[in-house]
Amino acid sequence: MSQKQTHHEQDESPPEETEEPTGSPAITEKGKELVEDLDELMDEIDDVLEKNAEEFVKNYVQKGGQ
Amino acid sequence: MSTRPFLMGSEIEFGIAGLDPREQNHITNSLRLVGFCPERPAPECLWDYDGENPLLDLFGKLCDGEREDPDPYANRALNKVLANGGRFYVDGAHPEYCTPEVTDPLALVRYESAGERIANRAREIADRAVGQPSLAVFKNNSDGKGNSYGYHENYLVYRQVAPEALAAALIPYLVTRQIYSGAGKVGAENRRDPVPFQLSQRADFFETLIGLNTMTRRPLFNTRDEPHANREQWLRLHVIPGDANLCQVATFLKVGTMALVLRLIEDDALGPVPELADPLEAFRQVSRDLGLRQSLPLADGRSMTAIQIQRCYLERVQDYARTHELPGSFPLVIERWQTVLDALEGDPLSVGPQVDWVLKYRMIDSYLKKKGLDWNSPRAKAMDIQYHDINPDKGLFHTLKRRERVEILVDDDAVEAAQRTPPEDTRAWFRGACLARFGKAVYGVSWDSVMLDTGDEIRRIPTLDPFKGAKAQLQAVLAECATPQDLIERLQGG
Repeated sequence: MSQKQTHHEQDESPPEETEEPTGSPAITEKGKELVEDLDELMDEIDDVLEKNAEEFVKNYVQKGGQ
Repeated sequence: MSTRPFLMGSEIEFGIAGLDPREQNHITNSLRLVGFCPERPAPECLWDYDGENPLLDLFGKLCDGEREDPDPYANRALNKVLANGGRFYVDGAHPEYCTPEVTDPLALVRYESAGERIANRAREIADRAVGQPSLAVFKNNSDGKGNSYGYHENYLVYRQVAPEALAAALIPYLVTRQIYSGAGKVGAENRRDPVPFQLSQRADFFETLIGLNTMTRRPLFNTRDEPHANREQWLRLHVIPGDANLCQVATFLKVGTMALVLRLIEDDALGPVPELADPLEAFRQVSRDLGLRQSLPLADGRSMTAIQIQRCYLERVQDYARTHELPGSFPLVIERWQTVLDALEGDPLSVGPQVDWVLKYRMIDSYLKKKGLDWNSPRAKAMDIQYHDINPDKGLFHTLKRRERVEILVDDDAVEAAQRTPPEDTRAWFRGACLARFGKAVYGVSWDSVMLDTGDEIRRIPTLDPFKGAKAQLQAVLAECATPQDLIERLQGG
């Protein structure tokens, strides 16, 4: 469970869970894979991100819909 | 015992933005996008508004408002009838895609993914027309500034089910399913208490329990009564509190579990469900509980977690499935529903490849930590919005998908084919087949009609039975008809 601990430091994270997930091995295994190597995608994500976050957020305004 | 077929479809209202800050008229941008829509065998085909009346309520009230009836010129500018039997059009200030009618949740995933692809191709063609990137299109439900737009599901339900009973049985399910179908959102809107991150895009916007409105004071249970089918027999349940998902597993579970719960209600097999003391408050509470551990007060004084309430529905569905043979991918829905709930109970953050809110939370959280930023940083909100961009070069979901961080249920070839071929087992096949065969002689269509131009007159073929018009029923007939006139004569003859 060491990887969970490293990812659960902040307040908004869900509480620590001591039990093993009882879910399908396939799903939780894929989930763990994601947890383990999301960090290595951050440079790639940086390349895609809008450079001026503030401006991008400010300009994204929609009309209300249904 | 085998079960009768299901029928469902979804509607996606996209967010749209001009990349030039001077080009921010949403209606102009939406018209421009749909104007470049591909996959149209009959570009002049009208949308037939005659059978539509979105102002009628399930409880029999006729509400105020204007029915839509644009002139043919405006009709063609607003509506694009798709080869796959779906519709791409301008609804208010948003581009919207409606899937054709399907009988299976996996088919729904396929046709919804096809719609994302069609919208993205329209964007590419629009950009090419001006020689530079000009539009961005988002599959999300909120701009983060208090403006929300919908993702609606539609399910065909027997009319004998009383609307009050339907609402009571569904509300606890609708309030809690966001634990796997929430698309995730940074921050809060609509004057709700601030929060760094929540499960749902839409929870901040629901203010009434039951009602007809979809634009303001949105109701958890929407009562629009526009069946697009035989009114005596059917109602079309219009489900509005859900989020649009990018993860295919989330879409699959969202519509698959909903269709199953409805089937149990129709068959009087659901039994009593936990009644929430305050469903609207619970909807927001679940959205803000990333650990999925909080108890929701029930009307009888007890309390249950969102996962426990979902398990209650799951168990009833599992019981039902022991005595009823379910078609197509429905057995897989039940299996995945259970495994996702089990995984969420163990570690909510373990279902990133399946559940959008988890994937988005993980991605933003990792990024903020790496950069030493917090959740109030504009970067967090920017990543939230950019997650939903349907352009594969810009959308963060697409970046994660490309790097195999997302579970795929329907491969790209099947999605590609679904852009131009209708589902085979509903009336959408007949609609699509007429478009493919007669092209511009198809004068207009709607969900429950196909209008053909014989050269002398316009004839409307009603398609009020959603299960009539399947490939197996009509392929041979259509193959023998050289002209629209032939087809009309054949159909009239029997």
